[in-house]
Amino acid sequence: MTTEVDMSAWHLEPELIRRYVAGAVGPELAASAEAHLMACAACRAALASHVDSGRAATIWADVVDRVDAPRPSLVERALVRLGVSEATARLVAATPTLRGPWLAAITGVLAFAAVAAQSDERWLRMFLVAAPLAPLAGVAVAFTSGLDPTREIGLATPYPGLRLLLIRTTAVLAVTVPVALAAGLALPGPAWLAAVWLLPAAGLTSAALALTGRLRPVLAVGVIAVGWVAVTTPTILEGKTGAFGGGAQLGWLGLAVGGVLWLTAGRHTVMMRLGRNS
Amino acid sequence: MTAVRVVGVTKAFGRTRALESVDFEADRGVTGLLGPNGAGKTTLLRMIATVLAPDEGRLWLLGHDPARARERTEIRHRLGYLPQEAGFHRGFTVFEFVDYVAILKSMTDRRSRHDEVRRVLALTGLKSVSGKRIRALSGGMRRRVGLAQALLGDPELLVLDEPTAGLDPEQRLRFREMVSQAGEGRTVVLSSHQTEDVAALCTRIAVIHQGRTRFVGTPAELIQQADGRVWTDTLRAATALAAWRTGDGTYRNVGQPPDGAELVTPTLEDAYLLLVGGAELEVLA
Amino acid sequence: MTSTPSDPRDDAALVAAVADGDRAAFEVLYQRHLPWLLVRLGRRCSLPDLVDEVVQDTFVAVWRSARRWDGRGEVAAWIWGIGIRRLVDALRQRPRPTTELVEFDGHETSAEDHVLLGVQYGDVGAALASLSPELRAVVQATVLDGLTTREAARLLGIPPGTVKTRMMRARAQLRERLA
Repeated sequence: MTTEVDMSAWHLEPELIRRYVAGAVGPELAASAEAHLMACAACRAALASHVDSGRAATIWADVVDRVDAPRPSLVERALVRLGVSEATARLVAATPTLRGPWLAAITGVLAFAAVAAQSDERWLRMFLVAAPLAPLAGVAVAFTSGLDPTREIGLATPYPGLRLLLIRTTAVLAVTVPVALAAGLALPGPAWLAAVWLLPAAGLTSAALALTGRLRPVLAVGVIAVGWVAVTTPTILEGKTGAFGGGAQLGWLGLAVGGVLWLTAGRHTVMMRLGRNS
Repeated sequence: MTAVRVVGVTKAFGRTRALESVDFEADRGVTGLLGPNGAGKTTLLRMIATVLAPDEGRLWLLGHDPARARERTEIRHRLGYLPQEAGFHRGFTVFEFVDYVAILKSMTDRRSRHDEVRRVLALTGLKSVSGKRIRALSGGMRRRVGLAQALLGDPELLVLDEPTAGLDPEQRLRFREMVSQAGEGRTVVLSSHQTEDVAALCTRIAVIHQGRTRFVGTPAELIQQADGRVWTDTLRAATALAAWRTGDGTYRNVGQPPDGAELVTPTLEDAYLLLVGGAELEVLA
Repeated sequence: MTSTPSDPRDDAALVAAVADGDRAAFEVLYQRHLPWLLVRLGRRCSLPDLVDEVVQDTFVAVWRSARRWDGRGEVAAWIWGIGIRRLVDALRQRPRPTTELVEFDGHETSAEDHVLLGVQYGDVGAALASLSPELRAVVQATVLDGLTTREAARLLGIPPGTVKTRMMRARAQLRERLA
C-alpha cells in the first residue's frame, strides 16, 4: 500500500510522535506512522524519550536474566520437578560421565554380553559379573582429572567434597543402572536374573567410594573391580552362583549401607584426598 | 595479621623434593613468586589455595589454619584461584562456566548468583562474549574467563598461577592491568617466570629455585643485588653466568665482571638471573 | 541498563553479532527497538502487564533465533513479526477482556497529517479512513501487521470466517473509492 515516493526525505514531526505515543491519533494516521517507523531508524530513536525508562529497564533485567542464564537441559528440568534444588541439578547435569561416547561404549559392551548370553550359558554368568562394573567404571570416569577439566578450580572451592562425590555417583548410577537393566532383560531365563546383580553393584560402588578416603578414585575403583572379577569369575564359570544367592544379597546390602556410613564419618578426609595428587 | 604466612614448608613427590623448608609471607597488594619451571612455585601456590597439604611446616591463610577441615572451608569462601592449567567443560559458554564455579562456591540463590556472574564478567571485559562457547575463544580471552571465576565472591585472597603464560605482548599488557586493578584492597599472590610482569606488578617478590627461597624483598632490593655485576661487551664473556645478544649487537653479561668492564644499570631480570644462575639456565631474549 | 555511546553498526550487523553471542550488540539492539515495539504493541492490547511480558518474550526470541534471520528486509519488520505473533499467542491463552484498539475520539486531522497520509498511502490513505472501524481493523491486522486470517481472528477476537468476509467487503469498498 506504500506509494513510490522517496521516504527518506522527511520524518515524523515531534508533535505527531507525542500524540502517537499518547494514543491520541486516529487509526489511519497511526498506521501511517507505524509503516514509516518500520523503515526509519532516526524516528525510532526519536520515540525513545517518550518511553518510561524504568519500564524499559525492568523489562531488560528480565530479558537479560533469561538470556544469560544457561537453558536448563531436560535432565535439569526433570530433577527440579522432583524437588532437587536448581543449583544441584546443574551440578548433576555437568557430570563428566553424562556424555554420548561413554554411554555408547557401556551400552555396546553390555548389549554384546546380553546377546552373547543367548547362545552360551557361560556368557550369561559373565554378564552378571560384568554388569556391576558399569557403575564402577562410571564413578572412575567421573573423577578422572582428564575428563573433569575444572577439577583443579573445584578443589579450591568450599563446596563439600563428599556432597559432590555423592551427586556425581548418583548421576552415574541413574544413567548406567537402567542401561544395564535393559540389557539384562534380554538375557534368557527367569526375569529376576536381570536384577540379581543390582545389590552386588551397590555394595561394590559403596566400597569403592569408601576407599576414596584412602586412595585416588581411579585406584579405588580399580582395586574393587579387579578384586570382584578375580574372586567371582572362577566360581561362576563352574556354575556356582553363590555370590548372587539370597544370603549374599543381604551381605551386599550391608556393604552398601556400611560404605556410605563410613564415608559420612570420614567426610573431611574425602575432601583432602581428592586433591592429593601432583 | 598477615594474610598469608608460610613457615618451614616441605613437600616431596616420590623422591623429588618440590619444596624444602620454605618460608613465605604476603599481605595486601601483589606479591610475586619468581622462578624457573619446576622450581616449586606451583606446589607452593597450590598449598596457599588449600588444594595441597605440606608434608612438614604450617600455613596460616587469612588467619586460619588450612590443616583443619572447617577452617579450610572458611578460607575457601574468601579465596579465588586461577590454576596454571585452567580447563573448561567442553560446550560451556562463558556465562555457564562462571555460573558453574559460582555454584561450587556455594552461591545457591539463582538471581543473586547470576548478578554476581554478570559483575565479574563486566570487570574482566567479557560482557560481549558471555554467550559464546569458551572453546571458540582465543587463549587471552580464556585466561580472562579464568580470572573472572577467581574474582567471584570478591575474595580477600587471590592466587594466580602463571597468569600471563602463553599470552602475546598485547594480551599480557591488558591482563597485567586487570591484575593490578584486582590487587587493590586484596592480597594477590601470583607466580611467573617472566621478569617484566613481576617487575610491573609486584610490590614484593620471592625468588624460588629448586624448592628453596633465594630472596624475599621488594623489586628494588632485588635489583640492588645485581649492582656492579652487569656489563656489556662485544662478545660473551668467559666469567659471565649468563649472557645474551642485545638488539644493537653487543652482549649483555651478568656475573663477575672483569677489570675495566663497561658496567650498566641492572634490571630485575639481571638480578634474577644472577640469583638463579647456572649452566642449565634458559637464556632469555 | 547502562547507556552506551552510539554504536556505528547498522541493525543487520547487530543481528549478525547477536547470532554470534555478542551480548553488547544485543543491548544496543534492545535500546533501538524497545520503544517503538512497546508503543505499537500497546496500541493493540490495552493490558500493560501482558504487553511487557510479550515484549520480554520477543527479545528473548530475538536472542535465540538471531541466527535464523534471513538477512532480507528491515530488522524492525522481523522483530515486529515475532512480537505480533507472540501477542496473538498470549491473547489466545488469556480470557478476553476489552483489548480492542485504542479508541480515537475524533481529533481533527491537520494539514501536515494529510501530507503524511498522502505520502505514505496516497489516495489509499483517505479511502482507508472512509472504512468503518471493524473493516479498518481487519485491514490493519492482515495488511499492515502482516497476520494470517487465523492470527488476525485471534487478535481481534472474532471468528476467522468473519475476518474473511470483512476483508472482502473492505476490498470491495476500497476498489469502489479508488476507481
